[in-house]
Amino acid sequence: MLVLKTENLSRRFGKLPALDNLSLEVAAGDIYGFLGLNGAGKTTTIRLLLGLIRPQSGRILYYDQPLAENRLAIMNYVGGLVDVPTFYSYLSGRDNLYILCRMRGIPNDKITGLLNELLEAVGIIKRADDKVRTYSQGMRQRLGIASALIPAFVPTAVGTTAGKPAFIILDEPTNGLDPKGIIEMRNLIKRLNKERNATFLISTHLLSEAEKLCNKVGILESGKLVVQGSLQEVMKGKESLESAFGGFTGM
Amino acid sequence: MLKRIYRLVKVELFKLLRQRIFYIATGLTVLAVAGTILADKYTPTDNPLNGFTVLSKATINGFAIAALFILIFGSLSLSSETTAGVLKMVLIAPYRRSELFFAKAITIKLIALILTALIELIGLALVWYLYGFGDIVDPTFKDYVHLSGAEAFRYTVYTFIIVLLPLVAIGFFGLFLSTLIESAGIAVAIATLFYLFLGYLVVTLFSQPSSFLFNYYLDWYLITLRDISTGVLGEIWRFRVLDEWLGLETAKGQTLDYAGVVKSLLVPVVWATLFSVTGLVVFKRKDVI
Repeated sequence: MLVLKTENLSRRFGKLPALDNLSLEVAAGDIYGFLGLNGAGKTTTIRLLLGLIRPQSGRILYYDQPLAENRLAIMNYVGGLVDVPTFYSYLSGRDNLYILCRMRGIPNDKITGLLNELLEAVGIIKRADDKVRTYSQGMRQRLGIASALIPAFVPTAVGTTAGKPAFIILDEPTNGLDPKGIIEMRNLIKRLNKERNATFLISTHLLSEAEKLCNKVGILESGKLVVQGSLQEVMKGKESLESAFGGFTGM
Repeated sequence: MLKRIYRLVKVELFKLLRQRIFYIATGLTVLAVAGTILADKYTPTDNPLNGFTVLSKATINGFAIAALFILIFGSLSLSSETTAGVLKMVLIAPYRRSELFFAKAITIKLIALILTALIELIGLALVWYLYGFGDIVDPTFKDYVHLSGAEAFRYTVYTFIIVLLPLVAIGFFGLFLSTLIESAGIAVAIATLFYLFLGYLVVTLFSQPSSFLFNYYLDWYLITLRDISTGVLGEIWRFRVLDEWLGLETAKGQTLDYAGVVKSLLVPVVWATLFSVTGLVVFKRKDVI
């Protein structure tokens, strides 16, 4: 079953075409690696998928429901991290996440436990009560990932995700993370995918990381999707994802 | 929808109470009111001032500071989140943009309410303690009572309620600016420029031709726009009540008859509605990059 489908999605910024007839397909349970060079259109796609900007043409469907008409229902089970994670710097990491949980309608009595679990999972529980302005880039990145993962951590009984498994969109989640952090995040994503049936769409530059983590990939080149399929299909006849990527992008 | 907006307003207040600027705003507003009253009390004078006169002066100073901060809060409400990049995070949550906008607007109303209440309570308490609220009498013929203390007090309470409308309109003007301008610094700078003199300039440029080409009624709107945009509330009816009692000249067209009062209430509401509707349209269409 498809969680996400885009149909001929196009977007321009002035005269500059950023996306051209993009048709993505992400099935339930996928960890989809969204790959491309700088400026290929990955972040623009993610902004469109989260409703931050509007397409000039084409449609975005989640479980066959168009995003344009069903944004509220859809965003209940969708979490996202776009570009560089940013927070209210005068609040602590915990308070920033608290706000996001309250906005998602999670009851107060459920939030404390959920926040502890979330902060523990991304490895910043010890600094959770410090102001975000004192965080390093890596810690902000971890907090950003935590904010995106909220729908995956909400117990189904709370009912804010409308009974659907979470769909998490992460834009360059490993930016600013040290090697230990990268491994921890990879394991966390795999765990949530396995234990909570969360589906992921992850844009990344790290091809070796995508190879270790994703079961499906799509490669974007100058706003066009040049290939999409299972990792095995895309790597067909190539020894690594890097060489396959080079073949598709002319790198 | 109302429950969802209520939830967002609670989040806005959670953030507001953790910002230093909120406490600076309330502190300076209180200082302006108390400082005026105390300065008047301890300045040697031959003619002792009536409590209502002191209250009028003190609250005008208090509202001038409050108006500036409400304008700043309004102009920061969306622009600061755009500048910091937090707006992206907020917009990913399952809310309509209109709901987020209304929550911001309600929070501005609450800030206006908090500052107004502070000004009034501190003003009333200090003036009552230092002066008392006696009858307003003729300065020359002390036996001639213009207005009894009880009546003047009642009108003062009414006018305190009325002043909320232009304060909210000022906040909405800031909110409108914050939908247009993505940089928090530029939004606050432009709002402050309006507060200081740009509002006067715009109205001076347009009020003469408008009163000639249209009629005086438009002029009234422009005067109020100037008052809203500059935060100088002295010409709004609320303050003219005391001027009238004290025999001072009321501003052009600002009368205390029924039509004048209705216009005084209506005009800030019209501007507040215009700013909020335009701001909402801009915000709903905005790309958040």
